[in-house]
Amino acid sequence: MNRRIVHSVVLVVALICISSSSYCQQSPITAFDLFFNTYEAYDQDIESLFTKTGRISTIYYDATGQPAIQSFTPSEYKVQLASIAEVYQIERTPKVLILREYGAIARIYSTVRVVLTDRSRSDVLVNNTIQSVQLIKTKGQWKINHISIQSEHPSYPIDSKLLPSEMAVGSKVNNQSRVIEKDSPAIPDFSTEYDPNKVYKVNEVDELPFYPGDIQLFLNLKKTYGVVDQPTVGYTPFIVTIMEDGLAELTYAHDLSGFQIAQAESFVRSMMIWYPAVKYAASVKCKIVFYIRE
Amino acid sequence: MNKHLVAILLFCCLGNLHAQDTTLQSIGGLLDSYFLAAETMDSTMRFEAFQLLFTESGTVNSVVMNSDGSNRVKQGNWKSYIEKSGSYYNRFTPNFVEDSREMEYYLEIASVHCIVTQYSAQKTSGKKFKERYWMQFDLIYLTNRWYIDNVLWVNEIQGIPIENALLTDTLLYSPD
Repeated sequence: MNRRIVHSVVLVVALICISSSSYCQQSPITAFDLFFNTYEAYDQDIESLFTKTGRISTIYYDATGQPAIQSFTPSEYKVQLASIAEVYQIERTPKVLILREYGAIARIYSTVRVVLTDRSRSDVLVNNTIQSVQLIKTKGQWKINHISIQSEHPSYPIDSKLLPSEMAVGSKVNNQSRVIEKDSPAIPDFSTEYDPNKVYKVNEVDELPFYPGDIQLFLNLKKTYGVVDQPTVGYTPFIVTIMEDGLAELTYAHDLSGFQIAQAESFVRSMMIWYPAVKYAASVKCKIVFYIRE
Repeated sequence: MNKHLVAILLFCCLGNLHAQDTTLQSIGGLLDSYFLAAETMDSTMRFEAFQLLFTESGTVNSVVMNSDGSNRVKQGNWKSYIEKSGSYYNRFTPNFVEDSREMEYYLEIASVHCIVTQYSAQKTSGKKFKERYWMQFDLIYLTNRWYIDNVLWVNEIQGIPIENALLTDTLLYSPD
């Protein structure tokens, strides 16, 4: 008798889990939650979380620094996620949500922290984003209809109401954190001169050069030209210098073949304008080593 | 309606001079232009105005709440909206009055919430109908001006003031 009850309970719990995992979006928050929880599960049916015309719009910055829009269907977005997941473990955590709801429509305006952890090296990249999510209740279930995504700009921090100070972490690359220290002086320390002519190495600057916009765009760019950022068998090193104004220049390509040089030049030309490295509160030149497929 | 804005909008449409126009550099200017465009009776002019205001992939969605709690959802891009709304414009002359507006924005994106009263004058009888809506606009700032990337509205439910739509819950996220 007891065993029968246990089996029934297990069955009911399993059915609840199955239904709540992908189809049962009873509130806007549940639908929102499911989208972020399924982010790591690329084999899951992300499309079912969206309406039939659902769309994701991301803002990025082109080579001239002008904002541009890239629009994805849920299926296209899933492909993008899968390509990033080949290199990084993805973790997305909403932080603060502003919810409006009336009848069968809702809006969640949210800060979302995206953490990418390199699967081979455990390097971590942290990026705060604003994600404005529009939801519609259709056939009794809440679905996402539209998402607008904008990454945080280092010069224009997200409002503290949406990103409380204890969460205000900038980028974190190669374990060199950009955490805003509570006790750091309000006025930057200009007492130490920087060398405007020097091309700094990445371990010499206070803040690393930062590629703007959605991280997946840069990952796609590297993939397109067969470029990686760690020594790899079958790949040849070359150097890209990020100037004070954020423009990228190919500055060392002596080890490359003619074809590789052409590829490396195209890779650099396709880059957007970077946020330059910072040393003693000033923008400085900084060189980055990349490796291109032979 | 503001004749000056009509003139600006038509000038922009016909002269293709929107790059120099400052109206669309502000969110208020863009929304005023949207309502003017939605009031434009000539479908060709309305198409050109929407083309000016929306992104290429811009969408228009609506949810009609029925008195029994059920709803109907209509979705599509702004071009299909122009086509499908033709029959409404054949029968009615619309007039939009924006009652209140709230927004959140960060750099190049903005989410705008408007409470809007739509008056529809029936052409045959002159009879006027009134409906109130919560309209959500997703805006994007590109090439020195704002564009509409998405708009969605829902009608007021009897007994529940549409102004409730502007009430916010601020939540600190804790996943299940």
